[in-house]
Amino acid sequence: MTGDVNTTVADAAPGRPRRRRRVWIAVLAALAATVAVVFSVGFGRDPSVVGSVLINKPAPPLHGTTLDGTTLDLRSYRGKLVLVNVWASWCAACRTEHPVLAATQQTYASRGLQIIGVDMSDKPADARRFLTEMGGAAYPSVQDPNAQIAIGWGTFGVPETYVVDRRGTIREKVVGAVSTAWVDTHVVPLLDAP
Amino acid sequence: MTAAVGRGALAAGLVAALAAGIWWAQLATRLRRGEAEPSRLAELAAAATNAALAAAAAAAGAMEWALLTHDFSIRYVAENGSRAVPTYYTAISLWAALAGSLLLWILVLTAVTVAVARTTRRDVSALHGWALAVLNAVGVFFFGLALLAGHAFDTVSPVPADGPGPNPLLQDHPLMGVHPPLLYLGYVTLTVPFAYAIAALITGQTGPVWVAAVRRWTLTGWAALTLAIIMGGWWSYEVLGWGGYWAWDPVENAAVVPWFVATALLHTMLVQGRRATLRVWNLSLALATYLLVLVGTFLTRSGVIQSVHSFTQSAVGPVLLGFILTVLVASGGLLVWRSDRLGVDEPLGPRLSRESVFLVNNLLLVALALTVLIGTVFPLLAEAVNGQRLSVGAPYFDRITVPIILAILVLMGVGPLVPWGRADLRSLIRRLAMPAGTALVVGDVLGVAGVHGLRPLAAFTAAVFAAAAIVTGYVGSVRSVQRRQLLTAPAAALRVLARRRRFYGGMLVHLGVVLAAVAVAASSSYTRAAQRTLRVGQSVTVADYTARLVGIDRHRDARRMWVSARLALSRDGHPVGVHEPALSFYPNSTDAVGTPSVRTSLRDDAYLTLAQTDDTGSWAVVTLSVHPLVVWLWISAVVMAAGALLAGWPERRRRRSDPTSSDIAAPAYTGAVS
Repeated sequence: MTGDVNTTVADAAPGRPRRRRRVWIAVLAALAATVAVVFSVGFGRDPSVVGSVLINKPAPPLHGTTLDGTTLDLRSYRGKLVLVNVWASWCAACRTEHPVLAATQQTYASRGLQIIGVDMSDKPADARRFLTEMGGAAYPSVQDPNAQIAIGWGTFGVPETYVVDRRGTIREKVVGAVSTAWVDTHVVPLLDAP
Repeated sequence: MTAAVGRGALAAGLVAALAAGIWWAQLATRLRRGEAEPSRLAELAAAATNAALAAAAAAAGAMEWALLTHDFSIRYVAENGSRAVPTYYTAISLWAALAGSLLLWILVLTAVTVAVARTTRRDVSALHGWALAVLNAVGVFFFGLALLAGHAFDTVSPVPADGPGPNPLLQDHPLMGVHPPLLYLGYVTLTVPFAYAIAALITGQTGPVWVAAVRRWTLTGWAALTLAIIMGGWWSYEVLGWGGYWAWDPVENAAVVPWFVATALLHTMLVQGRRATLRVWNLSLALATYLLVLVGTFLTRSGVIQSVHSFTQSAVGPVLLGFILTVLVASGGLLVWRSDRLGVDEPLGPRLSRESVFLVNNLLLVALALTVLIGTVFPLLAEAVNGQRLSVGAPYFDRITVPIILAILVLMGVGPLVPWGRADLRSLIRRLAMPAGTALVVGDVLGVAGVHGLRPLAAFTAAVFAAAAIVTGYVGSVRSVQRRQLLTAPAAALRVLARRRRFYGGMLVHLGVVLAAVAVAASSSYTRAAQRTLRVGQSVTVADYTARLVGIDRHRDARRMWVSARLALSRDGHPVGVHEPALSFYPNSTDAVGTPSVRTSLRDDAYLTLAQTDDTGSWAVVTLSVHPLVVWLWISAVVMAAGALLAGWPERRRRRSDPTSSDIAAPAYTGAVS
């Protein structure tokens, strides 16, 4: 049953096995070193970083027809702190965050805050019904049926919210629904900044 | 609360696995010194092993509970759950991302460890003790990984009301519920041969007990991996909409490389079962298989290689790399240090025999594994050397692997007809004449019938040869049994199958490989496709199939919005049903997810995809492709798994002896089973 009947064989001819062993140890060490170097090359490469390349860059163009039928251009809001919120009527999380955004607009508009919605991949009728259900539009939303604007802004999905400061620079991007706590800690301080 | 339960369970599992590892190692050392089995220690070790499984089940259960109750205070649920996702996809979100899939991995690992402990319960030897110590040590690592780097049970505050749901690709097909668990079962089960290889190096035991212990687990892991790989291909075919099932993607390669090496191990293990030879080779294969499993896991979980399957960046990468290096150095070091104590191998010699055919098969399989591995990590290598980022594509893999695979197919036909020990060349040629003749005739007929292309013709010919050789061998055995035992033909046919169940299990696997080869050769060489912009009422025709656009529909629910094209499909003018390929838009992804619609038949598949529509719904860009014989690839997976099951099913228990060792040890001594 046991396989170690011939344990003494190694001791019988000490010279060659020892040299061979040294070669194998060198091979093993080389293999381990190669594995360590080659496989650690990719560390620090973060696929999700791509989403934030726009941070501290000027905001991409945002203009178009709003759900009310008027035209809107982000450039005319220079000097205000703008939250660009990408949403859609078919998105569950957007329904959750909408009251937060509406309240934020009402509370801080006087201090120079403006929210602009981007209604992505949506039908205007559905979007208007959504807003009516939510108690009316508190801020304008640009129609973006083919996600042209959203693509330009590097949007992964809905909802996403971008903070554009008074100089027109993107300061932050949030994926997923925003909360009152986030507004208090990330948006309100920027209102007082120049 | 759930977070605390989950974290507590992981910590308890870590402690239990650690204790179990230490106790099993202690038990093994005592048994090795020849002390009588200390039954209390064995009980403690077994109890701790069971406790680790209970802890793993509790952790996975806690996560499952959090997912199903939409407890968005847990980060994993907040990132991968959504109220809008159907319950089935919510339940299987456990493996939709790294942290959760780690819990599944641990659950499978601890379950396998308990199974090993149970099968060895009645006859614990030092070998089993060490193997269980190694399995638990691996368990300690994965518990630690989940606890410290996985962050599965981190909490978020404030608690979101809803989450984005899993990656859209992962909530689109029921196969998602089957493919990852099977893959993990395969990967994790291959830890057992590794553990036994380490145990063999420590104890010096590589006899029939080692072969017995390793064979069944390797077979189980191999079968699960086979199913997982082909099901992954099927999933990709049904979901991704490009009409293919294999793209030499790093993740596919990561699964197939250990599969090649495990296949090699399964073959040479048979040699070791009958002769004391190839011991270091088999140990190396068992160690290499597991290292390659880890490398595969690393490549796909660390984000170093870009792929459809890659999970996002996490702290798991460097830790896994550290583990790989530890395993590599420890197992390689043990191999160098201890291998000459295993005893001298009987020389195989240059004779033509089943053994030598197996050795050639091994070299081919290992070459195949190396080729694919190098192609997969070459981009990393190039980046390490000169900072360039490049990619190795399908042409490289196709060019190098196809000839090797063809050679393996031919060898698969020859091997089973070559007797053990020493083959008589003349009688071998006589036996091979019929299969070779059949293959050449079929090849010629196909060529004359208009089947074009050297590669597919070569593949068909080799496949027919391998299948004909199996049939020849079987018919020959049945005839001789019939003559000698004066049985009727059906009785003799059954008798041969029953007497050599394991051999014919293997042959069934070979037939599955033949089916897979034919399906792959046909579908990769003779697929025809056309893409057309269709207005309602217009149609596209490929081969015998015509698809006419009947209408375009838009739908929307809480989870997604989708557009589908209603297409009436007909074959040779006869309607065969209405198909609705779709494009879905999910809130957490800007890319549209295509859902192909496939009409499957034994002869060919008609595969419809929707590429684009306009907003008014008046036209659609539709692709119709016809893939011959592709369904046989999915069938081949079932055939291979059935063969493995037949070969690995335990013999009926003999009284007063350990079933696992008697099963293998007996043929090793008597030579009764092929």
